[in-house]
Amino acid sequence: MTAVLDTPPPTVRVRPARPGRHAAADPGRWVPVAAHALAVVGVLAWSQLAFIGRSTRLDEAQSLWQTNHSYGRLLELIAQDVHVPLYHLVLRTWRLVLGPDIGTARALSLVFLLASLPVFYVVARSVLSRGWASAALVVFANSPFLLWYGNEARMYSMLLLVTLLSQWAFLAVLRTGRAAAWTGYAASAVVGAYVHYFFFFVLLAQGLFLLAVSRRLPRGSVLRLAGTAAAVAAAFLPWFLYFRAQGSASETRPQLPSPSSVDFSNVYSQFVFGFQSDALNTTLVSAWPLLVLGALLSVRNGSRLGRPTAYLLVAAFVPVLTAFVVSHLVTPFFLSRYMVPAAPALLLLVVVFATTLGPRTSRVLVGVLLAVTVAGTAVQATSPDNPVEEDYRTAATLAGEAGPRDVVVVSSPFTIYPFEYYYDGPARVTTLPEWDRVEAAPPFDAATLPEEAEALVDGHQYVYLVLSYDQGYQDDVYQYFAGRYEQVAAHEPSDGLQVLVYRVGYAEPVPLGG
Amino acid sequence: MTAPQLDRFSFLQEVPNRAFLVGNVAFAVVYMLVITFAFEHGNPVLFGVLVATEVFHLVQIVGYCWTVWRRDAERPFDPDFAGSVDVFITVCGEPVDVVAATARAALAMTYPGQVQVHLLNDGLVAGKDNWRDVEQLADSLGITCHTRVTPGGAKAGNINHALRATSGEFVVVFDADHVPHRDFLVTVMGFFTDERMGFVQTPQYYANQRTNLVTRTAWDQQTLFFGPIMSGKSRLGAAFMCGTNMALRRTAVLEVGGMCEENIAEDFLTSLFLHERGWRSVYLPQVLAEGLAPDDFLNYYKQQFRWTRGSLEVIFKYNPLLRSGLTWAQRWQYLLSASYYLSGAVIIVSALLPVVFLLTGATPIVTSTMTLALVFVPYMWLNLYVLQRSSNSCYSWSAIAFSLSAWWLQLAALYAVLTGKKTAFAVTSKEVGDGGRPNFLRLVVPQLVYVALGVVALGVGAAREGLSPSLMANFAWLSVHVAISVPFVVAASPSRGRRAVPAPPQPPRPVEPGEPTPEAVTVGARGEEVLR
Repeated sequence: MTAVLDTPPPTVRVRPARPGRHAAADPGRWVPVAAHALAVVGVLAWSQLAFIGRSTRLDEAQSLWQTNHSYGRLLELIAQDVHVPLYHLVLRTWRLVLGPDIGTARALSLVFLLASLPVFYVVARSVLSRGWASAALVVFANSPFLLWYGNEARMYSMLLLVTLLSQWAFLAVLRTGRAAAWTGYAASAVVGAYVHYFFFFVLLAQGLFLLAVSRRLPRGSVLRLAGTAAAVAAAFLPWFLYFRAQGSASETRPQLPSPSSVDFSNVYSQFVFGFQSDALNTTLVSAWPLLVLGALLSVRNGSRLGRPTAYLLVAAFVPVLTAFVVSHLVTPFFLSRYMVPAAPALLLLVVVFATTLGPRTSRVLVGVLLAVTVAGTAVQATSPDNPVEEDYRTAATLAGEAGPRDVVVVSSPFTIYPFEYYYDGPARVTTLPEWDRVEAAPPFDAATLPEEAEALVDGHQYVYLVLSYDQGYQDDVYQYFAGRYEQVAAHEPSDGLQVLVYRVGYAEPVPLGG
Repeated sequence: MTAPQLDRFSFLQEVPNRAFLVGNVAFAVVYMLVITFAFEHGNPVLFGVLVATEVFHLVQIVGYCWTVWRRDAERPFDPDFAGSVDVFITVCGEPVDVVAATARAALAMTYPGQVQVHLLNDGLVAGKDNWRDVEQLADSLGITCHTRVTPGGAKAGNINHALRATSGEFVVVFDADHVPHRDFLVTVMGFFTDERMGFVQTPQYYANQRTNLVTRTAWDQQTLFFGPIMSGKSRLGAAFMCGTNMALRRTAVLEVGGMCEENIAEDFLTSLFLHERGWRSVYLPQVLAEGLAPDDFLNYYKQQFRWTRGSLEVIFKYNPLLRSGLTWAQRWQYLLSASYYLSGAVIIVSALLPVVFLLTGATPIVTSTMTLALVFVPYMWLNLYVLQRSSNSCYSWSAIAFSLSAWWLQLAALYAVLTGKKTAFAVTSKEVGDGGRPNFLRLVVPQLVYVALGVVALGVGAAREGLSPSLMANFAWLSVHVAISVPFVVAASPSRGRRAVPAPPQPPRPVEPGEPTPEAVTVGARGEEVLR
């Protein structure tokens, strides 16, 4: 006879407490209601006080310009761009009904952000008690990163909403495996695929996670996952074919550098602290060894990584990591705003971590997190060093001093959209390199710069040079004008946006009686 | 035969996930390669030291993953085995109530064969006041008491003395404060149906684990060892004796000259000798006795020092790699176990790197701090997750903090081994005061000196660097090392009588007919109640 050693003795299991379920932090039902009210008020207050009235940014101006066109032309423009069409279709309809201005367009994003609040709460409830999920919701509502994109006339808050809906459905799939959960998951997946290409990374992370835990899921889960993937592929195929037919946006892709480790860490830094000055951001991310302390503190007796929390880990890191790798292997497209689907998972993980450290410490840490979030939003709203601020309104106001004998030169060419949105002066506005806005943006040629610049300034008194979004030749343009003409004024309305005034001609005296 | 075990024994239920183990090794290798080859080298001495520490970590990680890869699966077992047994209860000044609980529980053990219970009384040679009381206890219980009158060999000497005075085919050893369950013998002895089975080891469970920070942490550290590690060692034929809750074959022990008296960790070295002679061992992952953890910082410190010194002596005096009778798996397992105690040197080197940078600006490698983060953070997190998962979430932050803070203790033990300096062998005292925590801060002076050094270094670094990314990163590292030492320092620092608050009740354990009464177990298991 033999004794079996690797089978554990029968156990009487004590049902493990839900993560972060401290009795003191699990109050009555009024707390989530109050948290939602507080979150809505917070989002609206931040929006009105700090964000919704800011200057239009380049991408927003492009969205406004695109949605000024008919639905058919809009689809054509989006297909020629690097995006999918759902947001712009909704935005055009929204503007047709409610008004064309930037504030109205931004209000749509705000609606998506507000709609995200209850969805975030239900996702949070999968890993947190009622009290802590409410606290997480308040943090979420004050997040500088999410507030920024909740007040931008772009698709990122819509992407946030559809990602949270997808995560809600996916967690229900993991928990119940019911047909309703799968249906909701498949529907959100199809919608998400039409909101932003990055959503496919969300689906990838979910697929990998489901495959990893499939042995513990109901039979047929992998088959249903394959069915969902097929449904998404089938639903996306028409757009893909249309996109290919329109040239695969081969001439409109932005020139982005390959991401570095700093870019990678900045994504997570911005999720928590928002868009801060380079100096402050560098200081914050340099303290990364504290993550090691966090990891050590998270080793708790009896603290097990539940399936929802494990999924949140995957949701917070796998899409960003995938984008990072693909940006190195295929083509660079690593921008922190594309990573917005990973932000809620990260915020939740931070709160989950805090709640594992005992009631008193948890309260202190979540309080600190909320304070940091609010402070980050306030600094982001008021700091002149905000790296994503694009104050074309001030630039246009400054250029408004130009007279009819002056010329305004905008470079890079595509920044003419936000500039023109505000500019209402008498001077002629042109771009360098010169662009007709019908064809693809022209390439820069250093050899032809003198000739092109001479043609632009010929016959004018002053050149108002508006420089932003360096595409690799901004310094050439600057050096050309600085080396030939007298600079009479220089302004920097926001980080990376300059308005330089050069005197290029001298008015001849007008003969009396002439 | 086996009573249902409650969740407090969940440390025995780890199920290793091999994907994570492979991932852990892969990440460790990648991290090592990146550190060594991908970055520009800085100060050559610091770089060499860094690489040496990383090699040590890599070996430990690979060794750990190899050990816990799979548990021991199956061994021959005869439930009707009835070889004669001498039960040795080693006593050296423990309170008589504690010894009585253990002795009564030993007498209550069921077994089809002949059993003789003996008290191995070292109180006289150790100068303990209660040695006569122990003899009276033996008389009252009708069991034999072997009181040594000639000192020598500490606990090993005590056991060897009793071996000469007894004749059972097998010997079962319990420390005075380890109360056996009624089914200990019927659950353990059947393994000796294998005629080459030299000894059987069972877990060393601390029933007083919830008493205070020290007992909790000591137990958390035990869970990792008696959970996945010993099960893995058993699979590799390298489970070793742990001094108590073990059964030995007399002929095997006598073949190697009895318990080894030359080493402070007699059980570890005797195991090595037995394995060298081809005797087999098995670890049975089932709690069959419940004992007491060291209940204050001094006792914990002494226990750790004893284990460290004993293990390091094995490396330097009996290097397992050179023992020809051992299999290679056994050689590496002994070396891995013993070399763990070299980590003190590695830890202090790692802790000094930020201090050196702050004081001098010298670094071992030159790279963007964020690039280093991208490599290190996933490696570190996965490492900790594997630790947590393989211990079935029984490990803790304080256990890690105590392990990492024991660098001075380990360095002192290393010094003692290398210089041959004598250290007095001290049996862990089980006395528990009813007041606050005594002041043991003198034992953590090195940690406090490190904190002070760190503050000075920070001032120097800030004056030189300003608020640079390098300064921030090294300040953060310094903070991590200081934070790690906090639980250790807190445990050593004095406090008022908070311990008067009763410890939370243990989950009830089903009691079988004939088992020692709950009162006896409780009194034996909880030090603070012994004194009331």
